[in-house]
Amino acid sequence: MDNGSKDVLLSVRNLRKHFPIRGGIFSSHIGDVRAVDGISFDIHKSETVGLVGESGCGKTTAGRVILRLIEPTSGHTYYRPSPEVMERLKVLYGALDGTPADGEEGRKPSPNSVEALKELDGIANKYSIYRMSGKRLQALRGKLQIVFQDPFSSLSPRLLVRDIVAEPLEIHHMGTRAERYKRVAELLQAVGLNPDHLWRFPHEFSGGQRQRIGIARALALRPDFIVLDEPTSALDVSVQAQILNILKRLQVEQELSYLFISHHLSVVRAVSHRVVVMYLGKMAESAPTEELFNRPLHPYTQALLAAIPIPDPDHHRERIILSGDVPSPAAPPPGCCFHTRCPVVMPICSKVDPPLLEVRPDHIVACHLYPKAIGPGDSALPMASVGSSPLGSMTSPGGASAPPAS
Amino acid sequence: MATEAMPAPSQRPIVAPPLESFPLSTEPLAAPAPSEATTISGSIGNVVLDVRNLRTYFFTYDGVVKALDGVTFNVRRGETVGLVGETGCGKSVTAFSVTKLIADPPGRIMDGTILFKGVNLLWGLEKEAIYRTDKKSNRIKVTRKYRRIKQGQDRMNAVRGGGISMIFQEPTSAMNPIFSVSNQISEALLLHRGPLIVKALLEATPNAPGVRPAIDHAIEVARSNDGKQLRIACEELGRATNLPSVGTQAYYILRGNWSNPEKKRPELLDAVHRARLSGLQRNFLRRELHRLALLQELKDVYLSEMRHGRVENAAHRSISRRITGLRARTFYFGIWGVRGRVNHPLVEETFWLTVKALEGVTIANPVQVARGYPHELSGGMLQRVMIAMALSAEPELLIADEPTTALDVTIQAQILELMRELKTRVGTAVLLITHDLGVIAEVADRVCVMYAGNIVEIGPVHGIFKEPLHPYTQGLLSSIPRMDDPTKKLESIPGSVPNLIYPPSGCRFHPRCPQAMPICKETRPPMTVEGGGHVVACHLYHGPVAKG
Repeated sequence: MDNGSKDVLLSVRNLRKHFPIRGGIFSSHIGDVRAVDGISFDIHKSETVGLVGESGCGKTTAGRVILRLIEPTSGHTYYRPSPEVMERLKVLYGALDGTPADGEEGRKPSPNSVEALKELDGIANKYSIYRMSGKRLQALRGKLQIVFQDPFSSLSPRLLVRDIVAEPLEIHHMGTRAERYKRVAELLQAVGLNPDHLWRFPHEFSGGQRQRIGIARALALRPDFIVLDEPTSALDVSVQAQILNILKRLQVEQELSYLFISHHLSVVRAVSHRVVVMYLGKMAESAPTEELFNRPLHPYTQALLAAIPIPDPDHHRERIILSGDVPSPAAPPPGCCFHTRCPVVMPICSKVDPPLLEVRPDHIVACHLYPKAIGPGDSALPMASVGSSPLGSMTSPGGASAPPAS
Repeated sequence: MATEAMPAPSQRPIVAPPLESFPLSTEPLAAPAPSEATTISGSIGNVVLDVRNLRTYFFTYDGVVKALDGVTFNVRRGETVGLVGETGCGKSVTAFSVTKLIADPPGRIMDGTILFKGVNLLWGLEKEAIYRTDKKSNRIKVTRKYRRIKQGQDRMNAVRGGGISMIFQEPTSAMNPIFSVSNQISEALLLHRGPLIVKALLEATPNAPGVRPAIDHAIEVARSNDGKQLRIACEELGRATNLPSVGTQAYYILRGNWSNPEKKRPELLDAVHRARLSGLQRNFLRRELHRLALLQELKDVYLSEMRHGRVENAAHRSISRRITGLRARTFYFGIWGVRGRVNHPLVEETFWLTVKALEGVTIANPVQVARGYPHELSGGMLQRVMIAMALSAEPELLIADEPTTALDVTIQAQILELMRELKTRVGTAVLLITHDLGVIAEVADRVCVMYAGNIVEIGPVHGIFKEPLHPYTQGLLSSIPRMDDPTKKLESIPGSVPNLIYPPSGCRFHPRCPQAMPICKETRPPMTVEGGGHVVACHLYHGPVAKG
């Protein structure tokens, strides 16, 4: 996607969500589950961003915080920032450089960054969806929608399909009743259901059809942006393909942007333009899809890619088997949180948390293996010793040595 | 849409249709004739599990769900067979039918044979219940014979565990939450390898002259902080005491104490001392051995009954009489209150055997895991515990029902790696049930594709993935998003799996099939052999296809 910054739809900056753990005699605050711990990325117009990670890494929480279904602990999501604002944001966050947004967590900002914080505050008041309220927020709710993971529990069993899909329209007082029902029929057609399905209850449908109803409901208010929270993980492969095709078609027709949350990497590759890999609430890597899948830099991404079973009996590859489980987000390991399972761990990893660096154009990684940007001609990757070829046969011919896609 | 085919609830009969409407072996579309079945089975001597024409129905208020309708396949020794298909096509029902774990009512195996190494698992099934049609109301009356059912269960227990064992889909719900992990694995160990364990305990030699030097040597090695050497030294100690579990124990006592292993000497001596049995303990273990041997004899009687198809009541009666007598003679231990201690060596021994089993499935801290309870472990860990439990009986056939569906990809990779390794090391045949074709391609040797209660295609894994014959298999393969070929457009199979109360006539796939012909609606396609062990049930194929 060569979008530039001019049509950024949502810009997520330093987003954090910590759930308090209460315990002890007076239910005092004894710790935090760091579900989302500082993620930043941009979602452009009619673009799909894939959010990938193992279960418990904070993908779903991130999706809900972005929609403000859960209030964040800190950080901002800017809705439709103008290009000038985007430029300003880049400069300001650069100036802060490491100090957490809003100067929280007790670190004293330098005088230089006090100015920056003040200006950021101004921008946030204007654009951040966490500062909106009243009518502005209500209007925004219609523009940001979500499709839930489990099609069996996300539809009310007591409502007719017609009422389920018409409910958002009613809440936002759109049209007369007749117009609303006409729109519902159109929506059902758009997701490949018949008009006579209007008069049925959700239990009469199979999983794939229920997920279509969920998509129709999300589309009712003509949104700009939909969070797809594992929309196909409860479905069979044949039905999954149907749903993915519908989503792709709708994106082209209605210029939608998606945040596609999934643990299934091959599905993410099939639908997204850009992929963000999360591990334990933090961003590990972010890059355009082809770049990420052909040239994964973070050891965790490499292991994730190597772990996907390929439906081809001739396909043999070196496996990177990660030992152990994901650590608890309530007590994340010090330093880089992946160091307990990392196959190429170094002494520094257990001490210092690696910052997110843009090591290649548009390719952001948080790993001590990449302390500086890698030039396009730099073929000797630090990972070469560990076998940068777990995906050797997966990369397109010459993919590893080809200059990066601009 | 499944529901479209259904009449409104009010018109629907509440009862099952009359007896004639569900086939009992005389059905015209009955599965392949015997001659064909043998060609599918291949060489009989090598076959561990041979399922023929299996029909399992569920009798519900809405009607009879024909979950399996003539399923025929086999599993050979040391082979991994994958069973793939969409949700609700009868994969899990097949697994549960093979182990006879179908809940009855509502489910019932109606017809077919399941031969496990020549043992007919369904023998006596038709005597367990009698189905009669009530003339007046046209309802089916079922009379269950509970004595027969009990007998059937007893017979099946002779096969379960040691013969066929199973890994369930949801590890969290398959384990008992109120017993520790070691407790649950110990149960399986004692049930299936009890005589060996007790015999080993009775034959232990903790007083042998080689034991002291072996302890000294192990402590000496522990100083060097070399795990591999320590393991070898501890195994030597186990050999000296003639009880391998003492070695395992010694290893976990000494591990991580490389600075001052001398401190651990009393603990080591304790471990060895536990293998010294008191008179009462010895007495208890001898009786236990006797009891377990009798149970084994009973198992053999059951197996021979199922193999030869005749009841051996006399043998059965004499063994149960001896078991009752034995129980009566050991009763007084309970009154004296000493029995709580007499089984202590056995408990200790099975605990360390559990630790060894958990080590075998690459659990890093097996002692803590064995002491823990299921809720303390993560999904991947529990799945490995389940595998350890299933393998502790050293089964000849392992049925893995979606072993990795609930797990993350990285954990899934660990489990698959483990299963592949176990296949080569132990040589168990595996029936792997999954809907993930990627998993199948990684581990399976042969693949059976199921659709709506039928097997539509069987073939070697290469044949299925490179040259799928059945339109359903082709559709399944083209609907997976491919990592290796992302540019490919996703094809989908239109529609969804039919309702099995009113399955489509003829070929059950014809409403969704892109290549449906008039004949598909009328007759059910027979299984045709296409060469290279590739069998397909589709009207498109008549005899061997020309390759090229």
